[in-house]
Amino acid sequence: MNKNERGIKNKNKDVLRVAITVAILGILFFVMPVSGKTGISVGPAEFRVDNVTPGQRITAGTLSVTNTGDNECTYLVSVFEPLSFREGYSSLPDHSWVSFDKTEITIPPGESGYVNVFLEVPDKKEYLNKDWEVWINVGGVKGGMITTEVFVRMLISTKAEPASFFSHIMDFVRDKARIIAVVGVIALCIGISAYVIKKKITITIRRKD
Amino acid sequence: MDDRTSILAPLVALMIATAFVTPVMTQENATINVTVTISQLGVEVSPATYDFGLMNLNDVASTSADYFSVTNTGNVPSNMTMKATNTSNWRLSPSPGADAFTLEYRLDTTWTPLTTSPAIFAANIGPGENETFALQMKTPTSTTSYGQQSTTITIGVVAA
Repeated sequence: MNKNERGIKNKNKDVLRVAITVAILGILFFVMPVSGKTGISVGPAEFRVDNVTPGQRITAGTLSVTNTGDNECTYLVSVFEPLSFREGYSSLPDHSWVSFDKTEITIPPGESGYVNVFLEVPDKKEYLNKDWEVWINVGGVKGGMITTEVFVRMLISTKAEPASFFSHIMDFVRDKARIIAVVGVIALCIGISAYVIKKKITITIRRKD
Repeated sequence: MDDRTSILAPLVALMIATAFVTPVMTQENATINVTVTISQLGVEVSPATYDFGLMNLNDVASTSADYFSVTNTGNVPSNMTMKATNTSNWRLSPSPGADAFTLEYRLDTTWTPLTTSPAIFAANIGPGENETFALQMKTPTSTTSYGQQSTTITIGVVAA
């Protein structure tokens, strides 16, 4: 290897060293140039759906989403496993039972959008008399380094299991009492009507006299 | 007039009776109750961005204390959550490693690493109240990807 070749090789090494140094120094932690504040407001904070009949698809509620930040933001709507549960409630067995009319919504600053929430619990006896909690997540995905999201608590209670023989008897007795009450009211109405009619007839006879 | 009265009276009685009977008959069909508490969840964070600037490998940089402010803009006491994302080349990790960076927050004195799943960092914050926090970035110990990286930090809110 002659002097020139060694010189070129050393020069290449120097270039490589400089390149590596520049590369190492060039680790930038760059953030998107969005300034100001970011914010979201969603209502209601929590809603409860009681007496749900398995097999029926229902509209469980409507979420109002407001962009309170300074920049337009796109929000994704999804179902989220709760980080904590309300007392007496457990995890919803299948998140796919909850659905939305839209799963992505872009809202300019200061404006609102709406998302309908649907629920359909499969028609199985094992899903009767249950109390479940699931969270609905509305989270910003485009809008800057810091984004915001909310978790709306959705509390679901399904119908009670079919009544036992004893409770059927109690229901019958209770219904009988209602029927007797209704018949009594009808009888009372008829009695009052008859009394009024009779009184009017009496008045008419007196006038003829 | 009397004839009309005699016809109307039973009809009125029947209508009244129907009004009583109908709820009894339809009670079995009243299936779903949706209860909505008139409440609003809200959160605001300011500022919405921070640039850690130029950093070396295995380096640490942080914002000033109380740089970020998060406010409960809703009308119910709320818990605040925080999470971060991986960058396009580095994964978020509790401690720095090869192509692994760490992002930590601090409310008072302790730095807590962020994960990609939301975790409650401030509990039971009243309406209108705010919390301040700082962020700290630790770069990977080694990397195959030089150049700018970005992550997204998400602040969440849920009714306490």
